Amino acid sequence: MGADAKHVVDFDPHGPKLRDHNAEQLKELVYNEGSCPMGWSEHHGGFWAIWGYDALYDAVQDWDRFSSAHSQACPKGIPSSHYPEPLIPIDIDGQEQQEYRKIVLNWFNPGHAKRIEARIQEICDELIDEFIERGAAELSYEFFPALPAILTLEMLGWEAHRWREWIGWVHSFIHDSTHDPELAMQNTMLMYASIDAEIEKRRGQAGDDLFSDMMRTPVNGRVMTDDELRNFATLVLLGGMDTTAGVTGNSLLLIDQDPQLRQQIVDNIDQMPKIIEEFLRYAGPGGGLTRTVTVDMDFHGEQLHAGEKVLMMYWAANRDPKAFPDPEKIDIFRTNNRHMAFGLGPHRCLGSHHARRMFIALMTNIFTRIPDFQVQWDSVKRFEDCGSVYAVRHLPVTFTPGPRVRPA
Amino acid sequence: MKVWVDPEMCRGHALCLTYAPDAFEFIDLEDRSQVIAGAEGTVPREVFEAAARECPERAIKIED
Repeated sequence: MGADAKHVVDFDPHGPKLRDHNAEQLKELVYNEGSCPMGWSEHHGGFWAIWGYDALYDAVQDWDRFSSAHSQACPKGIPSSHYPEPLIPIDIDGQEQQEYRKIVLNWFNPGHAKRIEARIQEICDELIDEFIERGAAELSYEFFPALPAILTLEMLGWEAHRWREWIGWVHSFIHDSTHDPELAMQNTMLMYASIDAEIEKRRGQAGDDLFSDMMRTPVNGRVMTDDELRNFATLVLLGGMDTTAGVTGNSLLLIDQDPQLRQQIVDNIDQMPKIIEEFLRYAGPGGGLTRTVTVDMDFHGEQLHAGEKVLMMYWAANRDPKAFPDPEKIDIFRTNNRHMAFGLGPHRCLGSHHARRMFIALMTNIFTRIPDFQVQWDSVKRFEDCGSVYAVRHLPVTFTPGPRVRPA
Repeated sequence: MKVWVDPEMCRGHALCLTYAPDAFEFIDLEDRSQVIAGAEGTVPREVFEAAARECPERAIKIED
């Protein structure tokens, strides 16, 4: 075929177009003339983006040739990550990666998520009680990220009452590193100091919690070092926070703009487990995760070379008309909904069972306790860089005040 | 009819448990699901087929 005849796209995953005109940008990629499932962008040093469902399915299963491994010598990410350590286990491949997953499977399984349903509801009751008499709330601070933060801290056995600090540190870690690296570093150090304190607490005597299990269970032949523990725990925290909050916030914005959809949900509130699957498909928090090509290969009509970066656009594949008929329609009764909101293959999100339970609870509680919520659009603001997560930073709403359900 | 969940392909999404709780169960420490013993005799074929269509890993296999 001669020289590389790449399908080239002018696409910046960290740019304002993807953030502010998300649906249009994704459509532009997916609905291209040649029906190409992927393309090359020159931004950030050049990278591949895969948006076609079948091609992305193939790439994510092919973990050997599309590697998740990250190191200082061979950094992942678009652009390359400055963070020196691989995050455990997301930046690791193969059997080694699977071994890290195994040690937390006692916690990250569907049965555990079901057992903590009552606790999830309690937390929702408490969080909503804090604002329901006010008739106004900042959902992206007071509710949506608070539930996963509190739940994860409780699972870890850490100080869940400090959840506001933890959210602040995690947000700084993720969102400040490009424009205010000093602040990001400060907050990262604070976060690490707290994690180190939790390690010290358990050295003499392990508890009955996820973090104790992580500390004492050997993986790949030995127990984890303090650095590895810190690393893995950081991922556990940040893995669930803005993602769960993200899909819920994105969904609420869509619902507020569509009275018919709102009414449909009200009329079918007992079907929330099914309804959230369609919002996971259409309003998922993103596709900022990457892989690195390990060998030269032909892949779905393109010539890939070792060392090239690949953007896994799960959220775009979730709107591929070849996989989802009428993909731009939010159909809460949609069947054959094989969306990739939690990824696919060996790195399928460990927290998916808990995320689904929390998403169901957040939505159900909104629709039962503050069903007439109105989004204050003038003050809505997204996180600047939706290349990391497509989520709402400020989501103020007003509603008819209601009663607390627990004593003050 | 024989139904099984391919253990090499299953990645533990557990959607099958949600859509067909009488047909599938989860093996926590192996992060995968399997057909409940005897379920092929009691659960209608359409329920298995519907679950298979929702599995994003395409891991549910149905054979006559």
